[in-house]
Amino acid sequence: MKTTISIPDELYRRVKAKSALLGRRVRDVTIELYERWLAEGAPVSSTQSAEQWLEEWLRLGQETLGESPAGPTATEILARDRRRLDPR
Amino acid sequence: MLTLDANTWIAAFDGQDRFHPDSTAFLRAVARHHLRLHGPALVILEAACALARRARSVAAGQAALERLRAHPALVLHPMDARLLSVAQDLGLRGLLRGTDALYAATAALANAPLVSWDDELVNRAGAITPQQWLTKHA
Repeated sequence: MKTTISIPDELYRRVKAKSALLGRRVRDVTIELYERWLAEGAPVSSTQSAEQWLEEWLRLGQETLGESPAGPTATEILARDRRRLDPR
Repeated sequence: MLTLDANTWIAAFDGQDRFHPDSTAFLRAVARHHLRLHGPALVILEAACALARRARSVAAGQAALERLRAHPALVLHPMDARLLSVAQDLGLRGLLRGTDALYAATAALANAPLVSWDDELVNRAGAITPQQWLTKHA
């Protein structure tokens, strides 16, 4: 769709100059920044919510891995996966 | 602001992990400091796959993936042309693995230091460990 917005002159001049320098269209840069902003999600509402999230994460870990089979831990699995072809 | 490696998240999740106490203390301190956290979109995939393999359970990986995606302060950076371009530059100059370069690029673009338990990220990409961060900031 097409839309019209007002942007401060100096800001637009700088955006246009940088876009030209990078060989990109202002339209493409604008879309990229909109998508990036949307992907950021909601702002942090409070420390409490992050702390609550962590307690839930720890509880989920206990529930999920409490009965898990013996073997390498998740970080060992990740490290091994990242370097599976390295010399041993 | 900080950029977190997948290993920081999964060490806190896994109570048997040798990094579990420090990762948990680190994430608690980060929450207390109201810090915004960053990661390449890949971080959720890496964490969920490692946890599914650890538990040998699809459901475990899925639950971890959904929970991590719901973190209120975690910004996931899409693997777009900009991220890949910076990763290419940092990866080639620092002789990094491709995945490590994505973490380094995310840290650079977000201007948020990288925190990891991975020796190679510490030695080659300027990451600090959760323990080192705690020593300075807790």
